[in-house]
Amino acid sequence: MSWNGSKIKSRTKELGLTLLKVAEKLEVTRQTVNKWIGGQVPRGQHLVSLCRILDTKPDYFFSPVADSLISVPQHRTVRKKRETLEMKNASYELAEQYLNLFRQAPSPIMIPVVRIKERNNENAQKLAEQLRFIAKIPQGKPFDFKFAFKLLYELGIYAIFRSFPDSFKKNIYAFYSKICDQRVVFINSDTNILDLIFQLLHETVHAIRDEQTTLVYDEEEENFCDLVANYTQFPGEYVTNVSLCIDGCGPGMIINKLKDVSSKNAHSIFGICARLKAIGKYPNISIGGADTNLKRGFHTIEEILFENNDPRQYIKMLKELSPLFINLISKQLPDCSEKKFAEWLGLGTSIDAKAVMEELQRAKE
Amino acid sequence: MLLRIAPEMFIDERFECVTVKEVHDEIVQTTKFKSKYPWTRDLKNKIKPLSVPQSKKDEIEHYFSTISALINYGIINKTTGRLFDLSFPDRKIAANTLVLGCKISSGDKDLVTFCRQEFPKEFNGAVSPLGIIIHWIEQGLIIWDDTKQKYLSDWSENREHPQPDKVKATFKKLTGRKYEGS
Repeated sequence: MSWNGSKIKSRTKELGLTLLKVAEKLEVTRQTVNKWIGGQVPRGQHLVSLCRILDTKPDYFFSPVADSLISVPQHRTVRKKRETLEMKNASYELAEQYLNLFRQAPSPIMIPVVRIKERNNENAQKLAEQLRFIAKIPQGKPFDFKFAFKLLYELGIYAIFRSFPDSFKKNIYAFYSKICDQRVVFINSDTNILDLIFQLLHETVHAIRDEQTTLVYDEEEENFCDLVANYTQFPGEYVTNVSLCIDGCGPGMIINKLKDVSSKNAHSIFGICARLKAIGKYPNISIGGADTNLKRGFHTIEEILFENNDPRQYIKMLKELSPLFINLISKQLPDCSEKKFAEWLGLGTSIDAKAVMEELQRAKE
Repeated sequence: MLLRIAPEMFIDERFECVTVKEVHDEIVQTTKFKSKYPWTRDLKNKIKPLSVPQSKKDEIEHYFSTISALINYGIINKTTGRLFDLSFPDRKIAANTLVLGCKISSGDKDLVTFCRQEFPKEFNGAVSPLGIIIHWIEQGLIIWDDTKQKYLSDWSENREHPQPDKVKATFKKLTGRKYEGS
């Protein structure tokens, strides 16, 4: 956001006023108005009056796009539809709450950027292999949610948990944003961990791709991120083993076996089915409500973080899932207000911000 | 927690206290108030958020937009040298305070400093919770007794923000009792 003082001059002219008249009405000198035109931001009390006199809103004088401190690319929803403008704006507003925090953060670390010209199957597999290597996940093991967060950490991407606004909470599990050159993935804390793994991997790919010059929706890019996320979550070896396990079984038995294997390895049935279908296996398989039943045995991120509403447990969990972010906000202690602290962590009604602040301070010492 | 000392503080005009919807929601919904201050449950009906006419609402909204624009631009706190970073509820509190000409009672120094630095003309200053109690006693709105002193001693147990020394001295002079917190 930058101050555009020259607009005072143009707006004054538009309204048929003079700068001297504006200065008089504001009870300031003409020189003061000149300073504002030259780039100095007026005090709040003068800005309020200035907007009244020039019949405009404060945002008129600030240019949000000019320096692009925040970017929120337009992505798609969980049902693979394009985000609406309302959702995009709400995402931007959420990211905006962290602007000053990241402005005061240490410079971003070097983050690998993947520039792939051809967004094809072969390149998706190669990238998936690299991501699995970075996360240090054992060979043949599918990603669980903890490895997905570990990957974010290894790549220097901040993970922030929030209960998303009503306008998009049912449509978006997570979204990628860049704030002051720092890469950030916002995660809806109401999301079940089984739903979250694939989405986190998808957003991770967006974060390291970072080659979009515009923020417009790119269907091909979305499909490529999906493909990489699929290969990253389910390596070929694992998919083959699952396939061998269910080969020759009847439809009911297949679902039961898929449920067992998914439960044991903490991933959704839908995800592994999609991978099986992609290799031409069981194209007509229907899982019905099996995934919903399976998810009942797993928690949402919020349930994991706020278990027992214990601040110590909360900090411990947050350090495990989002060490970069917790380090960043612990550096703001003890200067930040309780309310801002609660907002950053999305504490909402679950846990006392003051107790968490004290716990974090103790952990720091 | 002043509400426990004067449950009528938000509904009886004589107490000269108002709160905004965001603070009301915080008191009613958050765990802190449910677990740390269980007595708030019985006083829920006494916490009425401020109701303002439409003309004032527009003005409050105008102030809120201005405050948000300044915060997002990145205004530096001249006392600490750091950026001001007010939360959404704090921006609402600031906007209401400035338009309605109230004083702020908050432990958040940033909020008070922001209002003082950016709106010196409109801002009427801050008042400590103990200062409010003194005002009520002086106005004859409450009578200080053992029960109220017991409620006040809970403040130190809950590590409420420190009260100014001058106000603590006035309190002792007025009630003959010591404020036990910091």
